[in-house]
Amino acid sequence: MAFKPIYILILFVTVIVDYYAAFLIDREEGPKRKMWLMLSLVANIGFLALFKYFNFINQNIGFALGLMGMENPIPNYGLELPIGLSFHTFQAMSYTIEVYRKKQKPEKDFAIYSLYVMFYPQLVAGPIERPQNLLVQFHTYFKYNFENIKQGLIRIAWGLFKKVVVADRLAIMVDYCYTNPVEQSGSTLLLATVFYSFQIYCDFSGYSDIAIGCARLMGFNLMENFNVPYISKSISEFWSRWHISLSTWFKDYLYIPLGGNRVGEYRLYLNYFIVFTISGLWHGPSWNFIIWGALHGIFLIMAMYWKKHVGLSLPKTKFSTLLQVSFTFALVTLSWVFFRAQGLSNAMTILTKIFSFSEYTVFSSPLATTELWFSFLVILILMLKEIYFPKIDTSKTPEFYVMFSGLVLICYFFGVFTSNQFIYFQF
Amino acid sequence: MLLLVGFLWLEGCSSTLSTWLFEKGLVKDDYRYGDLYRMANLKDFRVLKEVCASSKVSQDKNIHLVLAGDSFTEQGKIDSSNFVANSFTYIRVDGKASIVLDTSQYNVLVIETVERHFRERFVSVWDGVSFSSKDDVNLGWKDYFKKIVAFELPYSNELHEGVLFGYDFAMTVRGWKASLNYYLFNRVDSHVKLNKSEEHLLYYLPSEKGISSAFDSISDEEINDLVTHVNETLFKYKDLGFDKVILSIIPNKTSVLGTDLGEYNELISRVQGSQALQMPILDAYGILNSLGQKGYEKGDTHWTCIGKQQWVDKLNELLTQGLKNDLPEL
Repeated sequence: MAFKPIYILILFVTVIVDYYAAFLIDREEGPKRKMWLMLSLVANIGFLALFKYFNFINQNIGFALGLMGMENPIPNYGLELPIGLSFHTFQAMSYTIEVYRKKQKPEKDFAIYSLYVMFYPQLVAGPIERPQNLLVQFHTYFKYNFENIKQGLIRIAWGLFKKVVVADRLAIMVDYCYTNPVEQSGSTLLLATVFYSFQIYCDFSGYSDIAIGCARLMGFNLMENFNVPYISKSISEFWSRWHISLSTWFKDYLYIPLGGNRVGEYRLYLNYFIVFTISGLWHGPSWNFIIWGALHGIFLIMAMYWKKHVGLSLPKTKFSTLLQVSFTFALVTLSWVFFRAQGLSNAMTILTKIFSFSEYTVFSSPLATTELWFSFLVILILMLKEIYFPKIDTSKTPEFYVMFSGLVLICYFFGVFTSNQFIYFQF
Repeated sequence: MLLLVGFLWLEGCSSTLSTWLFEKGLVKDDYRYGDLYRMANLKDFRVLKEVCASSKVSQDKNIHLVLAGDSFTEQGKIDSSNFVANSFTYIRVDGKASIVLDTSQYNVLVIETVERHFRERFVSVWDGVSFSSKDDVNLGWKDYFKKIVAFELPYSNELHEGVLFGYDFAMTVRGWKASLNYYLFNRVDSHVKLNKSEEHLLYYLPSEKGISSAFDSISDEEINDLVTHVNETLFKYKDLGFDKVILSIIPNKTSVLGTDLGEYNELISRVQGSQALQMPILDAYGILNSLGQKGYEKGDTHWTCIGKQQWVDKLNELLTQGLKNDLPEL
């Protein structure tokens, strides 16, 4: 990873545009108010479109023209995606939209507004904050608080555990299988796909934990981004527990403006489909992400249709809960195939092999048997901790020291340090 | 605190700063036990690298030696004092460099490449050397603008790790972690490989599939193509003014000490033994294969002092012979 100073300009331009746009929006009423908002949105989305989607759109234009025997006249400028662009752009847009909706006053202090966009713990991969939560905290004077330090440190250590002990260990198996799926058996690919579900969860929520912990050390509270998503009983519940800051962003700034649930049944389905497909596209300029998002939209629509028109539901027992959780987990896991696979053909190969139960007796793994069992064990520990001890109690200082140093030692001795960057850094 | 962190960050972006810290004795060379040990941290391979005695050769020959090499011959391992040539230029074999040739000298180009990169380097004619005068470099404002836009600080984890964890105590703790992972999970660092008998620590790439592999079979057609490109490289640089062009392919440690991991594809022997090959060869494979484990450092991918010295002696011999044979009037 290299640092390109010129890319800081992008951040500064969006900061300056949105800082002044907010005052103009606040000053005006009627169409002019809307015009300044549009200007701010166009600037933000413009940068995102240019750096994130230009190459993808251009490639597709080239492909379409190629089918007609024509050459694409638009050159490929080889633009690189600045790290965190999707996150800080969405956070900046949230600010101007909230000012437009009169739920937030424009921030007068340029330094504080800049800090809102560039607050380093969550700059590169979220949580995507709202101005109502963060800006007010930047205006508050915080006194030294040892409880914040303890909470911050333990949260960082837990995030590191998720990243280096769980995610990067599972990544060994996932990378091995997904690099060349043609050579792998169905059972190997199935296990790798299940591992990927936990890898991406631990990788991303681990980052969020570290970000929240870093902010807490300095006395700031960031919003929670995950809430044990793999115990969801439905896809809609999953999305209320997974990447909460993004799903609420899309709900507030796309789903509701599209009409929310105050529209007819089929329009509602269409709205959901649009929101989820765009959410897929937000992740990256690739058909795999679009399909991944669209699949979630389709799952959700099917569930809603079933509830409304079939209405058959399971009795409320522990067994049916287990069944619902397993079914939701299976759907989410299979859709991850599109998220992780390199290209559509690889994704189809993986799904075909998993469902054709091809060579299920043949199993290969880059991890030794003991490490495979160890992987299952750490997943189990992770889930039990997340379900039963969502918050680690640090009120007793000696216990905090023991827990913190124990976690750090476990991270060091059982962590896998393969220089794997966080998955969501690419978005 | 901010100053310290800022300094550390700069250090991670600058190999010059790291080298300076090392030269001033402020930090320890974390490669002192070898590049492979640095990654693997397995205690059996924790052996300090040899410090080679400086060689004393008379540099009275009117020879300009241009050595296009990789990490085997880089600064710190080999320098002008090793060679009989009175003029020496080192360039990276994986880069592009401009040099000035003095035609009154006997100009020799040596292309030294490690075996695992040979196929990619000679997939076409090698063109790492060009000739240009200072007048060619005349930048306009557009060029400066492009340079500013393209400017980047290449951050390197490695440089940071060297400063923060390059000390013996930290290395011992790293050793505990490596042993735990090895004995519990049978896993070593992903960039190293142990041979089957676990006596030799090797770099991972030659054991992997692909263009760097020592075990993937190579077709005769590809060998012929490689030889053709080697020959074309010879003709190209002879036409450009070099009196002699020599190729030396340094065998992978795996090709000598890790052959129990698979069936060696004999890349070097097949290239060097080709009837069509016209480029003079400095047979590093012959030297290192006959030395066996004496030729390679225990915890490093590179050669020992004896391996290096034999290669240097052989090159000096070729330079002296070449001078006699090619330019008898000198």
